[in-house]
Amino acid sequence: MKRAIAWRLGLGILGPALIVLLWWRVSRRYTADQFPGPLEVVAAWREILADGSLAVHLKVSLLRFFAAYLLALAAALPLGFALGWWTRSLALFDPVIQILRPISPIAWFPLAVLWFGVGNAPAIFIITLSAFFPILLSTVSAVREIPVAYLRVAANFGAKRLQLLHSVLLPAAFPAIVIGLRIATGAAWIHLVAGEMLGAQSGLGFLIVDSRNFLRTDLIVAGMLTVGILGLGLDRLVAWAERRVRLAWGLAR
Amino acid sequence: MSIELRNVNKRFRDGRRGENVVLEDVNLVLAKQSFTCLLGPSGCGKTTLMNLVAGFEKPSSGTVHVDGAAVRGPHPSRSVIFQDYGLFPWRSALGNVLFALEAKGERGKDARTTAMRYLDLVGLGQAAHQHPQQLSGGMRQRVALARALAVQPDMLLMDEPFAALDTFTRFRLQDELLRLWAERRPTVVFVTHDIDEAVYLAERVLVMAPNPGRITHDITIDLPRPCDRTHPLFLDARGRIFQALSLAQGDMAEYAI
Repeated sequence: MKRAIAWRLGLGILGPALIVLLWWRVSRRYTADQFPGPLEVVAAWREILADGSLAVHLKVSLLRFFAAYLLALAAALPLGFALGWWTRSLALFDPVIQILRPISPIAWFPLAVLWFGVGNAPAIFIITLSAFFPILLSTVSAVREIPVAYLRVAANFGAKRLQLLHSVLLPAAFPAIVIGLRIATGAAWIHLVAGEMLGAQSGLGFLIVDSRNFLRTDLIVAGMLTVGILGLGLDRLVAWAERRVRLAWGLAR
Repeated sequence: MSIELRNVNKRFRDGRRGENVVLEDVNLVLAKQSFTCLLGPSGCGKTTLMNLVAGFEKPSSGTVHVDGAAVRGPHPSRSVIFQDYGLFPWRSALGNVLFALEAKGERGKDARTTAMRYLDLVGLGQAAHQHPQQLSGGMRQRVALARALAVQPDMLLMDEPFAALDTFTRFRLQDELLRLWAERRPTVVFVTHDIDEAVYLAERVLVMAPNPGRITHDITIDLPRPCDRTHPLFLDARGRIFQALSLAQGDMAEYAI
């Protein structure tokens, strides 16, 4: 057991180390402006860490992310419950959802700028949009798949609407919704960078665009890697929450 | 609570083939405080019959009355016990019993005391804080029983409640059910496909047959309780039911073999 963990940890370090080595080797064939190597990127990192700009961009990005995520939750959860519960409403709106869903949030760029101008609002709009559909769809199917037995038990004991909602429907649907939350986290984080390229003056997306304008490729890669590492952290956070929920609900790990 | 079914038919739409008659012309009166088993092979409509009394389903034609009033939907006075227990996995044993009390508007300390009393009644006081997935099948069904009894129902509707349990657990729960019934005397409708179980528990066994679902025999079991599973009278009653079942399924070759 312990050995297996040690092996996995070792391999988990070895893989990235090999890639960094390869990156370093390849980067030496180009100029640092064309293809910055790991050393230049680390230097760039230390630079924005030292002047405090990374902290500012990080804070702004995370704030936008959580604001947008909460907005998506607030919109998608109630709507998902309603559509999942009233079958006819789903028949009515499902075609619309299915048409809107495959449109990349990036395609909304022109309209987002037209409607919301530049700055926080269009970025938050794009991120919200990207988190909205995974949460909506997982909620709809979670509600529809609640075992009839639970509903019958609730009806048998004469549970009122409010008790039915918070004591049966919400907890019964929750484990399936959490899966959608994890997908939404990934989608929202991916679109954060895109959203922040819409004339925002701060954030990790802005950092990347701004660095391009100054041809600071080392900063571009530092920004990209920051996005990747934070994305991994967020995913692990939600995965941890998902495990906790599944454990508390008595579902398989 | 007494039950009266008159000319009850239940049909389901069955895709292209038209209609599937689940129950045909069922007429039935069950006395207050009686213990009745619905016995038959799968597809004979015994669960549907129970669901009609519970109020989960409505008859296609005919009437279902409980204590003289037409059944309009489920009601806490008619508590249902499901084969798969119907427990909420996200709540502890205590939480599951509390759910029934919360639905009645009972909360706080009094509700907890009541819930604990019913868990003690089924011998699960120690396991109050365990979640269903930590309990054995027999213990889960006890929790379901405690939850059903906590609202002091006049009627218990049980849908093959012990079918998934091993023989010894089943025997123990059968005895416990009889004890609770003797103590509180709810009207019990017990669905089963186990002849021994029907004879052991019920005062009256209604034998059902499929295609279309109907009641073919109405057999009174007049045995001293608790009865001895090896007593000649027990075996005699068992024989009568077995005969009724084979008569009912005379056209089903697999049963004759």
